[in-house]
Amino acid sequence: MMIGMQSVLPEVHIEQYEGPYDLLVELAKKEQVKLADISLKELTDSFLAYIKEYEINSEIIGSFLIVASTLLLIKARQMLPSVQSEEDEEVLHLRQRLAEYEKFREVSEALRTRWKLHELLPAHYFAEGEFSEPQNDDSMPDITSLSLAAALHNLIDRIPPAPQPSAHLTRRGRSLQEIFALFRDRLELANKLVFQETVHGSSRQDQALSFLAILEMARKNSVRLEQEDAFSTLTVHKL
Amino acid sequence: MTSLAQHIEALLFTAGEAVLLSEMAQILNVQEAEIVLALQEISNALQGQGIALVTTATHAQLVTSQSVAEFLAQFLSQDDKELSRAAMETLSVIAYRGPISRYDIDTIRGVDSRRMIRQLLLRGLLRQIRTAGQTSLYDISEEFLMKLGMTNKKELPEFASLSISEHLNRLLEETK
Repeated sequence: MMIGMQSVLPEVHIEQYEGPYDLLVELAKKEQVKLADISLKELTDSFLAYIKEYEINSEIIGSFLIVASTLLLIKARQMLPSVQSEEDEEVLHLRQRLAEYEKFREVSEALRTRWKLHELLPAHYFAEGEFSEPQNDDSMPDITSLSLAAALHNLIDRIPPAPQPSAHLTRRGRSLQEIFALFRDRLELANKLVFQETVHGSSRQDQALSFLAILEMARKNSVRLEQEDAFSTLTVHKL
Repeated sequence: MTSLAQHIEALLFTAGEAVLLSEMAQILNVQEAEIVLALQEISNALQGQGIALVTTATHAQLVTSQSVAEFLAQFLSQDDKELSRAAMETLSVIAYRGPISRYDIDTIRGVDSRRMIRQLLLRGLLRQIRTAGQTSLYDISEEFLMKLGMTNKKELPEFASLSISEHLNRLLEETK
């Protein structure tokens, strides 16, 4: 039973702001054990696996580590029966707090199902956001076709001039297609080539693209890649 | 209904929003305890009506009652954001134990709740009560109760046992 628990990381979805108690309750549910009557020790591995695996917000990671240390303490005692004494205060505290926490967790789930189900509304609720009357009583000016035309001209004059096109010179990199073609052509001539030599002198972007290109070609089994160790000469063999 | 209760009812009706108990006491020139009693009277008188009274430790507000909630729900838009589990967990702790300090909230939840509290304050679901000392206390707002269809936090499930737990009191004491 323990072996299975160590190797399989339970799929627990934990929202960003939930804490270590929440995680323990979830883990206990997953393992179908009751936090109250089984040793917390059994959940230690899954708990540690979780905090290793997931990026926990730095604001709350501390709380997870405190609980982790208590769990490890429990576990250490079990492994060294000679020093095993009755549970010390720290462990007892954790157990008691979890029990209290679980009560709040339970009611909060119940409340969540009620949320906005039978909402009570304040006065004027439906009046909010409705069309509001103009604030002042200024009468509308007389509108003639001439005044409209003048207003339109006025607006047109206020349109800012179109921005002058400015020239940007950027070095155009090669497209992935071009790079594929390049490698294909070269491999037609020679059955193998050294990657570093082929890309020597090209831009960083082209080098990166070239690397992607040969990886893709290797994936499609049109080439075989060979490299003795990291950063050494990379040879591309045609297949 | 006593005339004090009538005056308070009229004030709440015309205000149309949550009113501070202390403010009413000042306007009506009575003690806050009398306001609390009169609010109880209004609340009783509104039983079985389409209007109800929501009260928190600090505020009171006239709202539509639970009996018409379903009817009104058909006019409500459903696009509002739901509450996350963590948000509801934090609110529950505060609802049952409030007014409560952040330290105690953290102790019960086992995790730093600063961010959560700030968000809930912004959404108007919490109220911050500044004390004479350095610490602030937090309590739920009438808005929170209204969303749950409740007029008083005593209507929360298992309110009596969770709000006064000797055991929890001791735990909180021990961590200090």
